[in-house]
Order: sequence, then structure tokens, then C-alpha cells
Amino acid sequence: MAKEKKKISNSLKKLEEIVSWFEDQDEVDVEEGLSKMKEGAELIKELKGKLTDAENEFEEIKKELLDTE
Amino acid sequence: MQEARIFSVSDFLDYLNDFLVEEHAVVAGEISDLSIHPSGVYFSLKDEEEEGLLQCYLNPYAYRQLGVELENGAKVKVEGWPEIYKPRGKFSFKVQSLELSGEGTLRKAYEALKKKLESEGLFDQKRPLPQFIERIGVITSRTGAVIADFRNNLESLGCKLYLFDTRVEGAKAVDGLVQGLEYFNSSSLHLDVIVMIRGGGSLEELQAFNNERVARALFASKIPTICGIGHDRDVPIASLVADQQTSTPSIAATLVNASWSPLRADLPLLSARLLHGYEGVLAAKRDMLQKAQSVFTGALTHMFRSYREGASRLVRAAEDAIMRTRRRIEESARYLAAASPERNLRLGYSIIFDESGRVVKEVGHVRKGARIKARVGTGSLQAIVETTQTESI
Repeated sequence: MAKEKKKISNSLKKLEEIVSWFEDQDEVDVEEGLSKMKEGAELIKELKGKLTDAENEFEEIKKELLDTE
Repeated sequence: MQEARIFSVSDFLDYLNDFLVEEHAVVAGEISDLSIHPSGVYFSLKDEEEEGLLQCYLNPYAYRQLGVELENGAKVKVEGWPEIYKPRGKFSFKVQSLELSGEGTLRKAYEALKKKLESEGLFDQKRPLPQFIERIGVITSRTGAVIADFRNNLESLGCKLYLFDTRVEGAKAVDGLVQGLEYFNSSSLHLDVIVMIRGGGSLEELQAFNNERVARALFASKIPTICGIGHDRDVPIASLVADQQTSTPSIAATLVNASWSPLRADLPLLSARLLHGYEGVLAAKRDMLQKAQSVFTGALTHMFRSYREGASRLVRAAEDAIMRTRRRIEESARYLAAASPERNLRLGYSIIFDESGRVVKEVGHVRKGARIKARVGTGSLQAIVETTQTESI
């Protein structure tokens, strides 16, 4: 799960780098631009997947189990 | 008359204690004659106004569980039952739990503990909350509006909430809060954060959150903590120790929400910037293509035009050549017509042939007396040469 979070941060960082790459270049090679765009789109798709409007789950700790521990 | 039962001293005291243990009670009073020993804590409770003295005993284990510093003059509420201490025949109150009471005592205890923990550095541990909080251990009471408040303010992030239900007020609250912290820290739930929440209350109602044991358990938590405890004047000590503190439980939920903002807020922005960047590249290339296309089209048009021009020049040249040839033929015809001997004969010229039929072109060709034939316009005539004479022309 910590790994998962790291993955999200890394993906976000990578996406930021791609965006800056586009913004920093004066002359962009179309082929390279296309491959960067594809990579960026993949990252966005993946990150959006983490933002699905999922219901929060709620669970109460069973004290009976706790007492017998 | 039935004979009275005769007890031994010890049996009689046991007999009485069996009754007394049922007399579970809470007694409020002020501490005096405090004496803390390894064997336990001894003190007397008295009323402010009336006379009366209750001797109390607190076992060392229960004392350690209190997390409260006792001192003479402190107002407390003790819970327990009475007992006669057999070896000395002394009546005393066996304290099971103890709470401070009264604004003055509570404030004094609060200030003292705050000073103590501050000097120990317990308020200095401020770890950042992790990004993208998903797994939350919540320590609070299952009843009441607080847990609902927290849940309602939590965005739908697919979080997993684990509630450790505990009292948040009264003598049992301290144990519950500490147990919750210990449970979550030793569990295999892989929590991102522990949230300890309670609605607002007076210093007395909130005293579990101003407790040394709770403070130390919070400080010891390996998992980052958020305290969302409503309060008036004094920030609860638990809140001071926690990594993050908010003034209400609902704001604690917004801290969890905020941990997702790098994704929630930045992702749409990054998407837009990426699209914009890529469109910029495409637009530049489209411009370039359009330019190239117009150059190419221009070149082609030019080529066709020159081709057309070349072709028409060729046709014109051919036509000219034909015209010229025709003219030349006509001229030749005219010339030929002009040069025809018949025409010249008609004009008065004549052609002289010798006897052998050859055309006489020079005087020297014939001699005097030679027979010649002259051809003229309408026929021919025979003649004899009388004289010859050379003339220079």
C-alpha cells in the first residue's frame, strides 16, 4: 500500500515532467511529442483511476476479539 | 430465641467486607494527607464545608493507569467501594478510578502537565501526514454525532475507516483512548493515519484529553496522528502532542481530503497543460505543413504554366515553320512561273539552236554560213548566219 502511494506520487511527478517538457521546448519533434503525449495520457488514465468516486468503507473494531487477545 | 452467631475477628471482617463490596460508589472531595508509596497511594478525602473524613487507598497499578498527578488540595471524584483493612481494622475506601474535578484543580493540572510535557519535547513531533490517505483508524465514541460528522465531511475517496469505540468522557475514557492508540499501532491494518476526535466540552469533560498517559501514547504512536477535539479556551494537551490538530472533528476530515489534493486539483490542470502543450506542437507543425503545401502548390503551378507556355511556343514555332515553308513554295512557284521559257518567248525573247540542236549561248558557237533554227513566241524559223560579231556585255 505504501508502494501504491509511492507509485501515485511517482506517476504524478512523471506527468509533471512531461508537461514541463512540452512547455520548455521551443522546437518539438512531432514523433517525440506524440510518444510523450501517449505516455502522459496513460499516466492521466492511471491516476484518474485512483480518483474514482468510491464510497468510503466503515468498519468497527470488534472489541470482543481484542479482549481475548 | 436463637443463639447469636459467633464470629472470629477475621471472619467478622470478611463478613462485613462481603457487604461493603456491594456498596459501589462515587465520592467527591478534596485530597489531604497524601502519601505515595511503592505499596500504593494513601490519602484522605474531605468536604470543603462540612466535617468528615474518608481514608482512601489506591493500588499502585491503578495509580499508574491514572495519568494524573495528585496533590493535597486537589478536588477529585473517586469511584470504588469501602472496605475494612483487616490487619489494622481500618475502614477505608478502595479507589478503582479517580478523576480530577472542579475548574481550579483541572486548570492547575492542565498547566502543570502542559509545562512538563513541553519541556520534554512532546509537542515538537510534527510529522507530515502521508499523501493519499486511504486507511484511517478512528478513535472516538460510536454514539454521538462526532463520528457521523467526520464521515460526512470525508469525501468519497474509497477510504477504509476503522472505528475503535471508546468512552471519551469519564474515568474510563483514558484507558479506552490509550488502548485504541496501542491497538492501531500494533494491528496489521497498515493505517496511514490515526484520528482521535471528540466534540467540544468543558475542561472537566475533556480531561481524558489532558491526561499524561493519553499524551504519551499519542507521542509514542508510530502512525501519524490527527486530533480533532472541540475546545473553548485551552487547546487539549492531546491536540498539542498530535502531529496535526484541528478544532473540530469535521475539519479533521478535511485534512484527509487535502491529502488527495495533489491528485484531485492538479490532475485536471496537468491534463489541460499537457493537451495545450501537445496542441501547440501540432499547431506549429500544421503551420509548417501549410507553408510547405503552399510552396509545393506554387512550384507545381509554375511548372504547369511553363509547360503550357512551352507547348504553345512549340505549336507557334511549328505553325511559323509551316507558314514560312508555304510562303517559300509560293515564292518559288512565282519565280518558276517568271522563269518559264514559253513566257519569255511570248515576251519577244528567242532561243537559237545550232544544226545539231544545241542551244547557242555564245557567238563563238556558230560560224558564218551555219544553219541555225530560232525559236520564237508562236513557232520557229530557219536562218543562215551572215556575220558574227562579238560584243562585250
